[in-house]
Amino acid sequence: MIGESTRQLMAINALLALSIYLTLACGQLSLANAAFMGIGAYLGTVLTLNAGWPFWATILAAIIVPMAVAALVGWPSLRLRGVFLAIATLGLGEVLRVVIVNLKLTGGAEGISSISVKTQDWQLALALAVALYLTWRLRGSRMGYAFEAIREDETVARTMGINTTRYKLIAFVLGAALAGLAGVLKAHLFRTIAPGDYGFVQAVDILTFAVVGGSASFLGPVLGAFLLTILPELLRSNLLRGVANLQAGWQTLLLNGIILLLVILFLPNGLISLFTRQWRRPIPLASEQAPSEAT
Amino acid sequence: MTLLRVENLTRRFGGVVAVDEVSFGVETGEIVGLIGPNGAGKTTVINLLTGLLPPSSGQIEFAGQRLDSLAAHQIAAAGVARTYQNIRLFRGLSALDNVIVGTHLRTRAPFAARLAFVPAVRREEAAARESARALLGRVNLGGREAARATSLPYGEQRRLEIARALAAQPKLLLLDEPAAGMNPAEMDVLIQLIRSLRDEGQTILLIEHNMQVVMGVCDRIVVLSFGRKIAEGTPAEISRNKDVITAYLGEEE
Repeated sequence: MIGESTRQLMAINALLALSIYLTLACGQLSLANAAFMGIGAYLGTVLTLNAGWPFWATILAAIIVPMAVAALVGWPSLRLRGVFLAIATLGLGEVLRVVIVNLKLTGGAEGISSISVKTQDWQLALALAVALYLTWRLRGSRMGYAFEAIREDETVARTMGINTTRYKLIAFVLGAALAGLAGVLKAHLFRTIAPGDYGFVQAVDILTFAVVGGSASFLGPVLGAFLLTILPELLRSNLLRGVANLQAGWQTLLLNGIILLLVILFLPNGLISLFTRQWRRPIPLASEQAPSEAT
Repeated sequence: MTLLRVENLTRRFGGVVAVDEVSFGVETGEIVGLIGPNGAGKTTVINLLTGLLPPSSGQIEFAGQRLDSLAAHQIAAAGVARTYQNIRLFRGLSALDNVIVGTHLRTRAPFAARLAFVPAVRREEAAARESARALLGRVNLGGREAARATSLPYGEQRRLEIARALAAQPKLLLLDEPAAGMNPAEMDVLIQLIRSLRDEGQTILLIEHNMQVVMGVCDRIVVLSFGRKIAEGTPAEISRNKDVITAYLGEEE
């Protein structure tokens, strides 16, 4: 029912979802993940195609270089909060697109096709397993608590001795690593890359995984990524066949939009909130009820 | 021994001088009250002490270290913890997790060691959890560990915030109007708590409006009015001080 390429895409998208989860976990709305994915993809392709690097070394480079870029860009931009950070990080994607379009090495606006398939399924599985392990171990760790404190109240976190700039930068850089990894693996699976693949639409897609799945737990974004990858495929292969000769592009966008809308309206904490435990409310003691008005 | 020495501390906001050449000290083990009418600059002093605002001029010396040019997290690391006038708990976290965040400065384990399941990390986490649990008991919140912070009654939220600040084992605890909005029963519990903290040797700078609390727990009181220090002394001295009475009640016609 689920084809091979869909399964592969699920793993890629789950990696991307986990990459944005890392920044969301400490309250930062960064949309740079698509750009880091693009850096990983283009760098990886140039290294295997033009420089003849072995694939494992290429993967390593496609992880490290986005991390370095993230460290460089993150230092000034992580001072921005909320929607301003989102705009700044989207800007990074635009800069990257312009650079890629204008370089000979990257094939300009046409992109690069006929990349040889190098990514193995076990590599995808391993990458996803490592990413899941990383994010799973984050919860309950000293760093994980620091992330949560920053997400909840950055000022208070600072007065509790948490170096907020440092932790935000770590989240940003680790997110870039996962995005770069996803980029290089995807490029060597589906054989073509183009500048437009790593722009606004991809950035929003990644964010949608996390919003639909919910970012309270690392499993949320993965759930969102899986669902949003499978659903269009299922619909195209079974339900809608014969109704119309639908193309993948616009129907996926439409469907994702509808799902996003429904989730935001009815499950603001994402699909994962269907599974996570509800908070136990303490029974107030009689002597401690009814706070009087604060002065 | 003088733990905190504030000298000629000044903070301007545009043309307004919120804190004007204020000097005072806090000795180790002391509870000092910082009082004054609304808008006297008390909370601004706390924000200057904790690095949330840079001073316009003046010096803050703490345990032999200058604080006035340090970042907020470095000041916390030097041993200053605080609570907030308008309670600022981590709303989405449980009571226990709020206090565990407070142990950040006392723990070291790097994330890489946790990835490798190094046993020392587990021990450190267990110790942090245990001390957080003990602190909850300390502020009479035993049994509330799993409760979401914001679901607690008002007085308990105040005490939870104190527990969170204590988790860092600060040399100096700054309490910003801990009794604000409390009913008399809650206030009694708070006064008991502050007294027991003093008995354990905790140094406290207490900003408070409520005279019952201030007179009941402070060793010494510093009075601010319109950003300036107008008096300093024991509770008995302050309650007789003419300037203080004028500042609070206004001039006699």
